[in-house]
Amino acid sequence: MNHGPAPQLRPERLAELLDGAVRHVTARPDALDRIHSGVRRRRAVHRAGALALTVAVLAGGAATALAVASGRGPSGPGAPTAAAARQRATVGPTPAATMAYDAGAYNAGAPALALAPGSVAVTTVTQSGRSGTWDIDQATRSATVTIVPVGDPETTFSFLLVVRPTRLGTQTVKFTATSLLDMPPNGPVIVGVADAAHDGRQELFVQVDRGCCTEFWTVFRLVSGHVRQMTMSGQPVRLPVGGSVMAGGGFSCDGPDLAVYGYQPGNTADTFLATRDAYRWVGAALVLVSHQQTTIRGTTADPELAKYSGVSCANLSPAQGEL
Amino acid sequence: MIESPDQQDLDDFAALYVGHYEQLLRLAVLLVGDLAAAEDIVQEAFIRVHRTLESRPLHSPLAYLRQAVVNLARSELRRRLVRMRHAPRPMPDAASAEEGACAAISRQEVIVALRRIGARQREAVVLRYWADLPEAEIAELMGVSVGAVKGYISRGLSRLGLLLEAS
Repeated sequence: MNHGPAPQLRPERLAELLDGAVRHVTARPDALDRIHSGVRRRRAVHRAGALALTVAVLAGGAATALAVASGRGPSGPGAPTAAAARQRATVGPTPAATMAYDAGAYNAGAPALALAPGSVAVTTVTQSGRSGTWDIDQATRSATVTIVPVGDPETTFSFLLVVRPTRLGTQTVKFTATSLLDMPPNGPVIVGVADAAHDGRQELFVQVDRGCCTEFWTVFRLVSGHVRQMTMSGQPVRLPVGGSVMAGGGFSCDGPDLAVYGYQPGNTADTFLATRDAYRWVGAALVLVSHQQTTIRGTTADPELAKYSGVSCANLSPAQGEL
Repeated sequence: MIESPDQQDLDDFAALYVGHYEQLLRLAVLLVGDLAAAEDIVQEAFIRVHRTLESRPLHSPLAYLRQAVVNLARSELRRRLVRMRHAPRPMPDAASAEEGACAAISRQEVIVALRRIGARQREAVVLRYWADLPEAEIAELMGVSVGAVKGYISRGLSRLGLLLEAS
């Protein structure tokens, strides 16, 4: 029987077939979380024994050390695989390693994706824009903070804040901001850091939206070693800064609480309605503790109105002028 | 297919993930033929890179990832072979391992054909015609000579041609 010459498969045709077979394959939404889950588990394995005491000293909390040393992290001879991370991710969102290291964590905010055993403080950010450095321990170590667009960099509303400490691993926090096309030329912008909560650590402020006259800033904070996006009423923080002739807003961190204020036209032509809300820093949440509202009679030039606009918080200033 | 790495982006693990996870996942699907195993492989590769980056910089994280994916795919196929040899014979009406979420991928003719050629031929063909890598890079990745890569590609193409025509 004569089979004849083998049929020629053109390379271009094969490339088309291969591409067609996997074109629809996409990443699961939780793929990055699962990768980090695997990283966390392995780190816990490495550190569970020898570092338990170190963690206790660094964190200043016996509960943390007990959690690690008592086997709440993974045990056994081998590090768990990505398959194990995947399986666990489908069961529940609370990895053992996170529980161990994050015993004092609060509930709100986007997931933090890496571990920082021990107490970490943030001191300075040295530049604004899409990346900067962030000292994490008041001494010599600094972290690089970068904003990475997810998907098409021009049009995406999804971004990652990547904090890469030199020693403590990479932390990644997802957040939403106006796209680069809508907020040219930079999209979200790192405004700076300030010790807004007056606890010796500094918060990172990022501009996530900007109109003609008003910017909106969000806040990231280190909570139990994890970088988290602050929330208000369960939603990511959006602090209005600046305003137009007839309305304005801003915030102050001069007092113990974060004061968020603003004004808008009142019921009559010569009045403005001004509000001042005080928020307490509770972990990754800003909790409303007081609300004041007052009517100011006057014109837009009234100096009283100026008290309800702008930023008064360390060296922070609106990013708009820099763009 | 897999874009040239932007070195600045690759300095950043998240950028590495955003830029290359999906393409590496597709590469793994082509190498092992099913989605679930491919996901495990690529996640494992990223976990390894993450761990490595914590201790030392990587000259080319993307190349490291590709290498890890290829090696892990080989290990997965070896494990499968062992499982097949030692697994109890399934009942006649038992569902095959391919059933499930990834069945659609597994049933595609080209995926089926890829399974039926040699592992080295499959790697070479996929890396050449899907990942669009030069032969020298494929040789380095596979740990063989450029001549061997050419041979794998040539034989792989012929065999795939036969299989696809037959199907």
